[in-house]
Parts: sequence; structure tokens; C-alpha cells
Amino acid sequence: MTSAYKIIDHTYDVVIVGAGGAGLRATLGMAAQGLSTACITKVFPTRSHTVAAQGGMSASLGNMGEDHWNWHMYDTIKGSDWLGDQDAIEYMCREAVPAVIELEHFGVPFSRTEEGKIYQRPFGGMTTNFGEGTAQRTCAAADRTGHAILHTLYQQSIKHHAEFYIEHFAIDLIMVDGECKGVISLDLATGELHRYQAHMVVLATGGCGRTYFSATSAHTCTGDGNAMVLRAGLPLQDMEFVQFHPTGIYGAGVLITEGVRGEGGYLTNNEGERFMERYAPNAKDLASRDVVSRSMTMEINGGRGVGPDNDHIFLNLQHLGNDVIEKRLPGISESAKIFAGVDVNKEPIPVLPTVHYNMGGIPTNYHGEVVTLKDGDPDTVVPGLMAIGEAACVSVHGANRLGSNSLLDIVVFGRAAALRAAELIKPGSPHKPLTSEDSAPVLDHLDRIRGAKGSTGTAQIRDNMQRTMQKHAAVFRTGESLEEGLVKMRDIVDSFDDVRVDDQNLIWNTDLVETLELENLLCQAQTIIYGANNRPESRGAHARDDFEERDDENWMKHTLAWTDDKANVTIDYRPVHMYTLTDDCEVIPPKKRVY
Amino acid sequence: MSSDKARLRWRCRRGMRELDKAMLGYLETYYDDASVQERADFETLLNWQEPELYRLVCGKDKDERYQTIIDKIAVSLAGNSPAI
Repeated sequence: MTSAYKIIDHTYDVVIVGAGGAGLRATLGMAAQGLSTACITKVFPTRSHTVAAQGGMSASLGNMGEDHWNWHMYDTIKGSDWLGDQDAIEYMCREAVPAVIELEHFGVPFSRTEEGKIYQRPFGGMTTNFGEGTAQRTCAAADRTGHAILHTLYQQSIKHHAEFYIEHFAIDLIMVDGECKGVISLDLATGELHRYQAHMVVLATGGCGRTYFSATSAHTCTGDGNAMVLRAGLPLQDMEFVQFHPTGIYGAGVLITEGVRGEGGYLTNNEGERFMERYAPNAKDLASRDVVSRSMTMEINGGRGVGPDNDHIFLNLQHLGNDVIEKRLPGISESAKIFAGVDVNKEPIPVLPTVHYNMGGIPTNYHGEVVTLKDGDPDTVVPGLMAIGEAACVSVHGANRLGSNSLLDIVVFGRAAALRAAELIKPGSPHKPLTSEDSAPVLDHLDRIRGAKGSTGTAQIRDNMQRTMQKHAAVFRTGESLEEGLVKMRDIVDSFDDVRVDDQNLIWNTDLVETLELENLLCQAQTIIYGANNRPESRGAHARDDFEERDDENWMKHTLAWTDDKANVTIDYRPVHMYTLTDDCEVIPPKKRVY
Repeated sequence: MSSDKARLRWRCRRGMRELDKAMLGYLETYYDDASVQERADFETLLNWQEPELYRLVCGKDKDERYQTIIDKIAVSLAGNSPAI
């Protein structure tokens, strides 16, 4: 097929791809510093997945009692199971305080104490005095923190004259001699292509939860920026680290809070057995997320799952009584009724460990600049390209993210990217003209997918991928199962050569867009399963049944994964930064992670 | 798929998985047979903000105008077909 697209050209100082919390914080920050700023987003900004974050964001404000950023730093490093970069973690925990106060000034309506300070609540893994006490560190705007942040940052971005391209699907980066020069998007409503030339492109495209069958992620979480980076010949980092939540409603992905088990809810298999008593005799159903998720998966793999396909587990609340459920677990009976069709007073809720967060992503330094391993230098900056938020791997979460550190991550590093861009770019500086050759690979890519005339539907291939990843690269990982998964994934990736896109029309062609998204998911799924098979140790969210211990001597290092055009994966490594940014704190040496 | 239906399919892309399932479930099962008024109401709902829409879908808030749609969403979700 010959490209004959109508292309609309733009030049900006900076272009941000994605309008979740990270993208909007960068957009606002860059626009406010006088840079001409565009933000491209495939859904309306307040419909970004950040809206689903209800819990809050951590910052050692000390409003509820003594707190220090270096305690927060310790918790984050321990939570990361010593795979986090300590310079970046220091930066995040220190900058948390001004970042939250700025958000307050922008207008985020944080919940307050009686004295009018920002109210802070406790959250799992957040401690005082290096693990001794319980910290109250998490700031929230009632139960709609994510929405409040999106709404506020979007308003502020508009106020500073950032320009938004909404319902635009970003196809690929424009790369020239290893530098990023811009990006091309498809306007879903008009079918026109837009080519943006920019001194800096910032990827804020979120995670890739949809690589798995059961994910809490919205449908829009396809990690498009990660895939663009792979196609640009750059690596992703630590993709094997995927956080699971034990109790997502089977089939729906809707989370049932851990509070349910805190109030006495328990899990059963198809024999009605409370199997957690076998796996964790003391903590039982209240063991940590990764332990519960692993035990559930072992029951399912052992043929003791519930349902017609023996592929999930029951969460029982029936014995608690309506009063306890209504009083202590508000909203649970409604969620269960509407999304699982069960009356929690009479029936158990069908649940499954559910993908919740990608710790891995595009490797960056703490300024948000994308880095790669080149000529032996693991910190080589890729000119013109930044990544922030769940798309990025700074790495502040390492092998496991703590609750309320994700909203913090997006705000701190969205802000850091803006500060760095202001240092690097003089507003209005001229662009070297792009040639048609520069954007030819992007148009060829679009042509190839648009002209796909095979016999297999997108939904079929996506379903095969999601089920394979769920079975072979989820919570319970062994070399044997991963090898089997790799073989299956190879077939599934190859089956994409036979994909069919029915319609070549470009206006509201959701079939085309979902096929582009599927292609994006496939290469990311490959980096996850390859990375998992390649790492013979258990660390944080990556638990190998055949290698149960953490191996600091050999594996305290970041995985880098490149893909070729057939989604074959090549692996190399970057060292973990075991140094701090300043002398205000000390390196936290590795020790066993016990809670 | 007509481009109008495809546009609505895209607008069913929500910020929360819960609402993806709810809105897409309605679009795929009920929209084609709905009255002109009900279709218009559905489009209006797609413009709502996520927290308010979620409260409506879960039955925590009520609005007579949308009750028919919300009831249909509840029926389609109760079937709990595995994730799309």
C-alpha cells in the first residue's frame, strides 16, 4: 500500500504523550516555564487511568506526628527489595514535600485535619524510624485523589496555554541518528495524521496491564510509549516485575480491598478448604499480597480452583453478617453485586490474583531523561526523549511498589522532567527541518497494520496472549512453566502476521487502533516473560518457585530488554545505583525483607 | 461498524476498568435496540466524570432519567462474561 496521508505539521518546544497525572504535571510545568507545549492523549485527560487511584500520595509532611524523608526513603528501598536506585529514591522522597505543597497551591482539595493541615493516613509498608513504628504519611482527597489531581492539573495546564490534542493515538517516535525529533499521531475523529516536531518528547503513557487476562487496569492501559521505545531500538528495564493484587473479581478485574480479609473474610478452594492455613499458618488470609497471590495460584494450578474451568478462588464474607459488611466495608456489597452478580451475604465472591502495576518500563535517570546502555556506559542519555510515571523505570519502585508511592512518583517526576526541560531548552529555539525520510518508518508501520489482510481477528490474538501470560508469567513462576509460555508466546506473536484489519477507513477506526495496541502489547509481553525466565531468583514481585531466595551477588542488577522486528528479545543489564544523591543520607545496605 | 458506533465505542474507554466493562457492555448489548431518547441519554452519560458515573452505576446515587440504562448495565454485568 502506498501512503497518501494528509499530514498536518506542528512545531513545539516540547510534546508530552499521555495526559494522566505524570503527563499533565509535566505539561503544566513546561508550559508554565514558557516552553511551547503540546499534550497528545488518546482519551480525554480526566478519563486517564490515574482517576482510578483513590488511596492517596505519600510525603513526609509530618502533619500527624514526627516524620522524615529519610524514613520514607528507607521504606521505599526495602519495599523495592533493593532493586530501586537509591539516588532516585532519595530524590523522590525529598521532593515529595514541595511537590505535594505545590499541588495544594494548584488547588487539589486534600482532606484536612481539624487544624487545617493536610490529613495523612497510614498505608502498608510506610513506617517511622526505619521500620519501628507506623507512619501516617499518605495524603488523600477523600476517595477521589486521582480524579482531583487530574482535574486540577488539566485546569492549570489550560491556564498556562498548553495545547491539547485529545483522542489522538500516538503511533511512533520520529528518530534520527539515535535522537528523538518528534512523534506522529492519528486524529481518531478526522483520520488525519499529525506530525509534531519537538526538542523534547516526553512519554507518559502508563503501564501495560492489558498484557494479562486479569488486570485492574483500564482498557486503555496498553503501554503504547513502551512499545514505541522498543521499536526505536531502545530497551525497556525490569519488565518482569509486575505487581499483583490477590483479590480482583474474576472476569471483571475490579479490586476487592484487602480490608475485607482484615475484617475476617477468607479464601476457599473447590473443596471448601481455607487453604491459606496451609501456606501461612500464622498470618493466614492476612499474609502479604505476594504470598496470598502465590498460594491462590498454586491451588488453581493444582486443580483446586473453583468454577467450571477450576480457574479462580472464592472469597467468603457470608459469615460476617450484613451489619459488619455495611458498617466496616462500605461499597463492597454494591461492587460485588454489580460486577460479580453475587449477594455477599449469601454467596462467596469469585476472585483471582490480578495484575495491578508495572514496576518496569523505560529506563530513565531522576531527571526523567531516557537512558540506555551504549558503548559500555549504562547511563547514556537518549537526546530528545524523556519518560515519566508508570511508563518509566527510574527506578524508584525496584522489584515492588509500595501503596501511595505511585501518585507520588507521577507528580515528582512529572515536575522533575519540567525542571530539566527548562534547563535544556531555550523557548522558541529553531528546529532543523525534518525530511520525509525521517517519518517514513512511522508511515510504513501504519500502512503495514492498516493493510493487514490475514484471517485472525485482533480480539482472538489478544485473548490468546492474555491467557498465556496469565497462566505462565503471572504470580507462580518456574523455569518449566516460563519455557512453556515462551513457546506459546512465540506462536502467538507469529500469529500476528496473520492479523486482519477489516476496514481501511481512518475515521474512528477502533479496529485499527486496537490492532496497533495489540502489536504494542505483544512486544511488551515478550519482554516480561523473557525477563522472568532469565532471572533465576525471587525478588519482590518476581517469585520463582525454583529459585526461592534473592541472589544479591549475581542479580542485584536491572534487566534491559530489547526486541527485534519479530519481537525476539535480547537481554543485557544496568547496575543498581547503590549510592545516594547527597551526603544528607546513607546508602541502605541490602538485608532480608521481612515485615 | 458505523463510524458513529465506533466513536461511542472509543468513548466507552474509561479511566476505570469497572466503567469500561459497564459502558461497553451496554453499548454492545442494548444500544442498537434502544430508543432515540435512550441513545441520547447514553451519550450524555459518557460525558460524565468517572467518580459520579461510578456512583450511578453502582447504585449509590440515583437519577430517574438514566435508570433504564443503569438497570440494563446491571443485567449485562451480572452475566459476568470474562474480561473483554
